[in-house]
Amino acid sequence: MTPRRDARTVFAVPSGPRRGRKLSATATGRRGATRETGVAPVTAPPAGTTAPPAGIVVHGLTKVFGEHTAVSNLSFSVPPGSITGFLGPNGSGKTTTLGMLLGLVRPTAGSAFVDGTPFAQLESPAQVVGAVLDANSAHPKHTAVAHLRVYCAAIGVPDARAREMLELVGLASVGNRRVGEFSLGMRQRLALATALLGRPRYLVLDEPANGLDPEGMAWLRDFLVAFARNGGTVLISSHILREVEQMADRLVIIGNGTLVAESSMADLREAHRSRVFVAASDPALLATALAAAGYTDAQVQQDGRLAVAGIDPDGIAAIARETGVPLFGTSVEHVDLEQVYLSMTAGRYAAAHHPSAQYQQQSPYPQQPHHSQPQQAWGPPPQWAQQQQWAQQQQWDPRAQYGPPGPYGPPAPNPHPQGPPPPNPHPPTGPEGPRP
Amino acid sequence: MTALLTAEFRKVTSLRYWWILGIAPLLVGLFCGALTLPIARQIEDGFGFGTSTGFAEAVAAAVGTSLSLALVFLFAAVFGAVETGSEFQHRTVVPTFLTARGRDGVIAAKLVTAAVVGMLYCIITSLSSVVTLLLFGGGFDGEVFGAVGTVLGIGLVCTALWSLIGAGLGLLTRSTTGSVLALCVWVPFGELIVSLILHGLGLGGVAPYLPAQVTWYTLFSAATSPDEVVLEVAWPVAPLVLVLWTALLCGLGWWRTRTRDVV
Repeated sequence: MTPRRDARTVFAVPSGPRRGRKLSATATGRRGATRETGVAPVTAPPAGTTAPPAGIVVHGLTKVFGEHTAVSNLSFSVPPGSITGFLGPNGSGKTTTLGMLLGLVRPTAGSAFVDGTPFAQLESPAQVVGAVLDANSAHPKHTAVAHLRVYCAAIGVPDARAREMLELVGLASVGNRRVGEFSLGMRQRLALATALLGRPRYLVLDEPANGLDPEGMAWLRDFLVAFARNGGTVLISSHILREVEQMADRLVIIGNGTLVAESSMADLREAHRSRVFVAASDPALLATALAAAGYTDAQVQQDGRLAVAGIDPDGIAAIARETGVPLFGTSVEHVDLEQVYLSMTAGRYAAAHHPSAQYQQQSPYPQQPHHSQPQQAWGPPPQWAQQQQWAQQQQWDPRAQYGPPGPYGPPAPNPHPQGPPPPNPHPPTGPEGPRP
Repeated sequence: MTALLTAEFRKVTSLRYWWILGIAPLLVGLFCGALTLPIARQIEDGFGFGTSTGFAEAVAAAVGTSLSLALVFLFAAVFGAVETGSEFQHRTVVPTFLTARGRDGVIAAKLVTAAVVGMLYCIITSLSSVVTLLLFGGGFDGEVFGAVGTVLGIGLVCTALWSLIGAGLGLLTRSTTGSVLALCVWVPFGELIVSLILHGLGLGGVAPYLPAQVTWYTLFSAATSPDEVVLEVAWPVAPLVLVLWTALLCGLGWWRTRTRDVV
């Protein structure tokens, strides 16, 4: 299922007045290429503004289903030319939000705009926004070509576009096969081809990685990056940060229907830098020396070690040598953004994913992304003691269901449940364990 | 609107159900004439009416046309229900709404498509029915031919209305199965049972205004009938009531599709 054309060469987002501003120019725009164009970031709500803001603007969106509030006063923006990851756990309101943005769900309050216009009022919506909300939105008895030709007619583009898009998404060879025979990954590609028929400048994708194999994932990533480099804007939802981490330059994180964080990837990484834990004979003196050298982010932990951010172990060792403070060991804590994201969105579903106490013992890294009171993150949840007791009563070992723990978060499924645990992929770098 | 109509017709014609649903009334139209005309001739001979009265042709035309039209109405409604309901069943409504400006145009295109295909059923079935009658020796005189033509013309309008009723039901229920089941139960049996219940409740006067019965009153009121025959619902009330039923179901379906969340 390898695409026959390169997205970078085939897909170019048209420019010109109708297409709005080419490439953005926000401080958080696409990597490297857009900072010099000087367009202001889209942050203000459109109410009262004279010129419609470019990009996607969601302002105070709220959706209440009966007594359940799915989305609550959600506001964020997607600057033109960016790839914005829209993250949140399952059931956090991502699809509902995208539905409201695309006019499929009527908001209880608030509004959403694409280039300053509500989606429902766009003159040719498919030529502005291409959206994939559901991979299974094709009639199973239609062939892929027939499916696309239907929407070619609806959008008002030539029928030849159908074959062109099938080729682009790597489905040219199965164009005459019925959609019912397609795998989920092929349906995802077909849905993407449908979204691209109008050559839109915005792509809104709801969990497009579902059903894609690793090759498909890589292809999608390359495609979206190429799309953005050609002036397109992408809003892609996912419940897994790693799916979008490599391509997104902005993140909008929601939990329980409310905004948790909106930031660029660079800012997020900056806010959650890796730290080096140093066991030294005189942590206070070392901290003073580090501060004098410009490294002020150093904290003495409860176990006496010094946690330092912004400098690598060699640099610390050099400063310690100059200061005459003997070091007993260092270990690097790599902050995993996935864990940062999980900690941000931990809520009603968190209790179902607590790792076992043993895994917490084995886990080499602290789980607090904000580097404060790391010990608290290691404590088992209140329900865990009861779960362990229950497991003993049932003579069931919950650990058999899982593999070894990842560096952060819940353990991954164990491919060899009866065998020994695989080696730790992130061994400590110092002479002593990294746990503070 | 032309683009949306083209899209809707492509949706329909790239699948098989539209012509499969048309086969049943077509077959009935073909064979009703072929079977009823010889039988009517035997009756004509048995009672000694003589061949010049046109009794056999009139009976064959009435029976054949009525039966085929009854099936045309039902299958046109079923087509309408499948056309609109399957959009929700297969979730194609999401890309459909995403590629169109507003929902009203999409709904209108769907209803027009349903009506056109329903009328196509009626035209083909009626033509085949008449041709069969002629092939099997039915020599219509001008009066009978005119009456048959009038009934078929009114039948064409009724078919369009029944297509819209089915399409409206599909939009309202968002379920192909539920809509088709409702139609297949209501038209042959359901309305009869409801009529009996209404008569039992002393509301028998309402029964003729139910959609299937008022359709027949529309057809009968258009045809020439003996003076002693008094229709409970006559022209133009009968077609107006049928139009009201159509408007009710289409309006409700339109309103629900326009206002309800899709995702």
